[in-house]
Amino acid sequence: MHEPLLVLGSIGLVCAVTIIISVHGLHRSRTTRDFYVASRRVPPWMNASAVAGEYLSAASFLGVAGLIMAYGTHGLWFPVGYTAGFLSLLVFVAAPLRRSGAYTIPDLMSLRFPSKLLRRLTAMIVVFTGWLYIVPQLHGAAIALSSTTGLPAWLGPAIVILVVLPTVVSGGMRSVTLAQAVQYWFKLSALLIPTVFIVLRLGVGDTNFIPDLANAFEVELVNDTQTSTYRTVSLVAALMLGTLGLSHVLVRFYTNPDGGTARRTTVLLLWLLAGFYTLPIILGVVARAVLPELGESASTDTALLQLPTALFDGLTGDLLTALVAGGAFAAFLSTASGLVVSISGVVSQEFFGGTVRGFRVGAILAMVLPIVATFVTTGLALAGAVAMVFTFTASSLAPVVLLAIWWRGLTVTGAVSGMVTGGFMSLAALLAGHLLDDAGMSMAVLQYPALWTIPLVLVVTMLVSSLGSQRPPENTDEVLARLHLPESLKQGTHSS
Amino acid sequence: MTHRRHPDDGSGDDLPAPDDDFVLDLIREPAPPQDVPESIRAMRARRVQVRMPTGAPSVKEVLLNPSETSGSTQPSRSLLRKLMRAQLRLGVTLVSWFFGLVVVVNVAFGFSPNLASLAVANVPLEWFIPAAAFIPLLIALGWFYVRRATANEQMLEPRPNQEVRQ
Repeated sequence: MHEPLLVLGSIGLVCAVTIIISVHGLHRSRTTRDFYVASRRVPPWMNASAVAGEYLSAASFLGVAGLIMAYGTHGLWFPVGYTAGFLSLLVFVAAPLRRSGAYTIPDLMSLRFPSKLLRRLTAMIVVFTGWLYIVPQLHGAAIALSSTTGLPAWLGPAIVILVVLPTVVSGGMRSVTLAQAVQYWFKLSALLIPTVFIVLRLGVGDTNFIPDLANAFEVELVNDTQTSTYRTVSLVAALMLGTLGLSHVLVRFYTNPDGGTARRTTVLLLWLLAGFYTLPIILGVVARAVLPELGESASTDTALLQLPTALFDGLTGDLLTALVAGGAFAAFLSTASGLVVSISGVVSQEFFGGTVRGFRVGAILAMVLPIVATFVTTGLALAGAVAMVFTFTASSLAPVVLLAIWWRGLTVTGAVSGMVTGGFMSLAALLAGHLLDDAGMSMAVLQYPALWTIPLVLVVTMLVSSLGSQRPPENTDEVLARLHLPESLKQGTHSS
Repeated sequence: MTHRRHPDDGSGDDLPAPDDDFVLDLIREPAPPQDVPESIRAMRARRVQVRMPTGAPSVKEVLLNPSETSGSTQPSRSLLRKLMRAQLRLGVTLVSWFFGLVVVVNVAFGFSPNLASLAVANVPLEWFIPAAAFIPLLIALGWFYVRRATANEQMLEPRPNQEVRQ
């Protein structure tokens, strides 16, 4: 066992810094005017860091290496898909969303359609997605704490809740771009430093110490290549479109000054994500060689936490473990607080008329339900659980959001039927796939349904919109002009 | 934690949260000055509550915001449709190319284990391609998209007056 005090100290430091930054953020943005004006001056690299800080969750920090340990090459496609999600975001959503002036997906929908039903439905899907997404964060906290310190697993989620709930409820962590930007660079360093140590150790260390890296690339014979090909392709489809439905990520695009900078932010974001994901990939491959016995067990998500002490004796190993554990907690805290803020914002707006009381009720609800779910679903791999959330948003929200931005023929009935179909079909398939645990092709089709649910939802939405008796709203062209015309053009025509 | 409440603040009375007081000072409307000690009043004078907007801007606000747009001078509908088609075609092309490549590579590896285990710098192709080729490809595609999309938008700009039609 490692030195638990070092790990606890590092986690405590991360929690303290998180609280201090969020309290500090309250003082920094003093007036409403500051909030609007200053937020428009945030440079793209800062915005990109903030999105990356919010986005890189337990699944990215611990889960990617864990999946590479467990499944080999299939795990490698997770970081590819996570990054590709931002390519879809860039080409389909970034600039139009910023130009719309909407903060969240329900806002975008109500701008496009004057329908309370559609808005409610969208809000409910956003809240549900947030709940699902918090569960793996709490799981991650449980795993990270118990595997490094030997303390009981429930303490990890308890720490996350005790930090996130008060800071969010007190009004901190809201739109604090700086805090989230710092989180990205901290998470990056928390993996970069151990990676440098480990690569140096393997590269120039004792020759008899070097494990055989060739072992790392040996993948257990896949007896059914069709299934594994389908699985990977469907996974990438889910991750590519699922990002379009993540409210806690989309809300960050509002701090870009205009559509053009929203695009530049997203390209920088691709760089930041690429830079980050290199590290868990390298560490995952090394872990396959160094800790082969872990691949057999169920706890591959702890690979990154065990790697330092497997390679370094004494204090160096303990310090590196403490660093990785601290970075992991930064990941749980930043993603969880982003999610809680977006859930409670929506809950407050939809069901409590936008009051502060509603926001607080929302924040408490946002944490309570995932806690219950955390204790029900303990066995799932982190990145696997997050992939299920992406499958759900890619099937329910993403197709309708795409059509709302790019297709003038979309009607309220079409949008509602698409969302309901996608949400229902994907949840039913995921549930069935995990209840009937089996390895064949039919199970892969149920466990990774994105490849058929996404086209299905697109077809349903378009057919119902075109064939139904309802017409698209009369102001569709005006709204779409607002979404797609560059700001400079509008100003130019205005002055001429 | 104490449960002191401001007498006029009824909105949170039924809330069971134990940290009610903590919350109160940070995000609620400040209580009237006479109830508040001098020290807290001084603090509050510097601090104004900052909240996320409680609602989306209404359609009317968005479309008629005079500082950003003017209904009568917007480019014609046909021009808008042309721009949207161009941007959509660009986006769909790039994303389908990328996704198509993912499918092709996976199918190729599935059919030919020899190809999958071909080594590049001691790393099998099956490992090398996703890690070292696809992620950089995403950055390149993103960069290319921004260039083309901005160019599409700029094509509209030099001659706004000709395009104004009502």
